[in-house]
Amino acid sequence: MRKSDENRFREFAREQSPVLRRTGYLLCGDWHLADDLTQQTLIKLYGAWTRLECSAKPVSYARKVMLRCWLDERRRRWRQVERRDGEVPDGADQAMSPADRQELATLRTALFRSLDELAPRQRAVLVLRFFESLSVTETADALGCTEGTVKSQTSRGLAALRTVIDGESADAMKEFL
Amino acid sequence: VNEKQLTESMSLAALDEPPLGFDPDTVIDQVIRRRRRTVLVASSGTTAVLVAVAAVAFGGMGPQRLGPATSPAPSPPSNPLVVGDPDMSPGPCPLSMPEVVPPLLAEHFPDVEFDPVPEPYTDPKSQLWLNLLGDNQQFVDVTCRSGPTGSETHHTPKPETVIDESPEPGARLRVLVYESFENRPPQIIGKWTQGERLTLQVSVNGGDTLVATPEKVAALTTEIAEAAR
Repeated sequence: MRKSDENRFREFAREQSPVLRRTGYLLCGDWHLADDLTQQTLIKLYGAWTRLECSAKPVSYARKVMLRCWLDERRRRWRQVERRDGEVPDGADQAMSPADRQELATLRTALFRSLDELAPRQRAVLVLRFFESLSVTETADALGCTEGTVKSQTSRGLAALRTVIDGESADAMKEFL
Repeated sequence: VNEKQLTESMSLAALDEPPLGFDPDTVIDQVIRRRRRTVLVASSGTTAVLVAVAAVAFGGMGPQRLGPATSPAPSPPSNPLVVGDPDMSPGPCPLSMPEVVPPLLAEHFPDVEFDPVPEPYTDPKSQLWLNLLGDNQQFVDVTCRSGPTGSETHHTPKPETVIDESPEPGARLRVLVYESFENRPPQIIGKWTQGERLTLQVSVNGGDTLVATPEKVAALTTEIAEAAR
């Protein structure tokens, strides 16, 4: 890779790493694993960068790679499944009051407990559609499936969420919102 | 939970994020170093086989099969490679690797998903084709050359030769297995030499995802060599 291409990739990596990590976090529910997924994504992107620059869609491609990294991670037989118990990771926003932080922790617990019950691709569809605000077409492209599949997975995913969210979790989410 | 609530919940959940747990520039520096090292390893492996073949040519030692003796003893290559001038550039690869390698990899490793991008990478100078699995620990690389060339390379640890045969007149196929070292998975290397016409090396760095056997690597090497006819 030429030095100029490398510099552009470095700039891209600095800008997009936090964005990618947020998506990774919604997919896996763990900031540390989200860090790992983002790094894996950058490593894979590096080899393709010169070709990606021509296509002018490096962000959507990065998202696609991130999804694949996460789906691969889920398939690993030695993967340790971690259950969240409401522990609050160290946050950056020190301005948030303790009460707000506690409520946010409760919301996170409720949300991730529900998302953990979904199939990986169903969860990915919901994250892309409702967190990344991607269209059905863009989501289908990111996941490598048809638009019909995205629509049906969205519908089933939402229905499954409603089923798995118990009364306590629903209250926590409604209370914070 | 409706769509709006889910959108807001997800946005809120990603708030108050901790600082990034890595430095993107450091990650990129590591990738660059690993890739350079990988290319160097592959390149040094190729030169090593040339030295070995030259030793056979000049020492008069015929190849032998170190596995079950299921076939008659092969004859030595009729047109063995000679050690060339170290400064001499390798000849061009007699096959189109972009057309030949990916379908054969898909056939031999059907469950393996190599880099999602057309990552396979050819370096026209070294004739190296590199298929990575993302973590740079598991990969397949193919080096293909023609013409006389050679330089000495010392390998540590020493590989074990598990197949050494002459599948056709003038050709020699060897498969070497390197033990795992420095947290790297074991590596299996198939080497096909056919006079000055073709020097082919297929290296498979195995692991959890990329499971390979010497027989599998031998078959892959043979098929790539056959495509060069």
